[in-house]
Amino acid sequence: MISILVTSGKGGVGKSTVAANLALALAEKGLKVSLLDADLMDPVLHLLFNVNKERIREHGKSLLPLKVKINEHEIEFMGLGPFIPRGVGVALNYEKTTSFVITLLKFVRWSGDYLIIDSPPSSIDVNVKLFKELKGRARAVLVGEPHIFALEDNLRMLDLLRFYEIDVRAVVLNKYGFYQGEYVKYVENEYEKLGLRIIKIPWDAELQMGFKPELFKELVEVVIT
Amino acid sequence: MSLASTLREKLLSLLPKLFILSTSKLNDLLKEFPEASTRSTLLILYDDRGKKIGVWLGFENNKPVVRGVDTKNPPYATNEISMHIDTFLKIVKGQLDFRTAYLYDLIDIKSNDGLPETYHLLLWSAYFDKLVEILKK
Repeated sequence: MISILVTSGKGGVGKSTVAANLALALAEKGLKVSLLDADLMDPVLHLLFNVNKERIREHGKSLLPLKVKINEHEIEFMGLGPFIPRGVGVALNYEKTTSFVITLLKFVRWSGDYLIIDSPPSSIDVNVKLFKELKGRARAVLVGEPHIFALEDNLRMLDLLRFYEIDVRAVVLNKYGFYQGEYVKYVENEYEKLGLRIIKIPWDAELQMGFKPELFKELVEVVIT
Repeated sequence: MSLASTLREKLLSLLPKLFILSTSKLNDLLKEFPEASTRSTLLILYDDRGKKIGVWLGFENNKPVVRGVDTKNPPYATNEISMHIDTFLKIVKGQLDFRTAYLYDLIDIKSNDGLPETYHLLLWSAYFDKLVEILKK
């Protein structure tokens, strides 16, 4: 199984949207896909998949992932979202957060060809734990919007990813076209200088809470080859 | 009334509800959670003064066992759950969700079998859901 981190230095840039659509686009290609919502403080993927409160099940010493169906494609899914009450504040300390990350990453009976991991935003300690666990054996997609703040945060994230030998395949400039100005080109140039392939996902209001896997075909090719 | 006896009083207040959990219902509960037969738990309840009461839950000779234990020298359990007695009472009465209590940092779980503590938490969450459901009836 190949792990693909969908990550970002900045929150709210559409990381979960990219992760979910990438998962579906891979499934449409006939691949078996697993999807982990590792954004523990703000899990949302269960909303996209319309997964309500579920009971956790175990087989041996592993938890069984949920099965979600989108456009007739079945995807394995796990995250905290379906297991914690809606609207409850998550006050997890570092130990508890990393314990959840380890449980969901290593103690779930994943069986996909690819494991897409929607990671928490920002270069914070829980991400470092995740990168250490995946050091040298994972690919990554860095998600950003074409503006200066997202660029600055992603530069920090990119530094960590490369330090932990995570193979960064591309930067996704999400909501492309939403922002206008000279700085858009500046942002693209900065990523290009770092040797990153840029994949532009156009601004599309429907995509923010839904699926348009046809927009992610280029990204699929980049992460699987 | 001393604070130590307060802890006992609070536990006693729970007894009427626990009596509802007859043997047959306990067996029903365990049928839904067959994995529980391979596990044991040390439940530690404490009060404001740090007075502790320990309860060991597990299986012996394929039968469920619940017994009070010395918290200073407890028997082995695959995991340990500690919480304030008031938190426990709220959970059992259905006033506080077990997961919410954990997310609010009101519960500590220690794993003794190599599995992450949150692995035990997720399994126990389902167990407490069912327990509360039975006690409400």
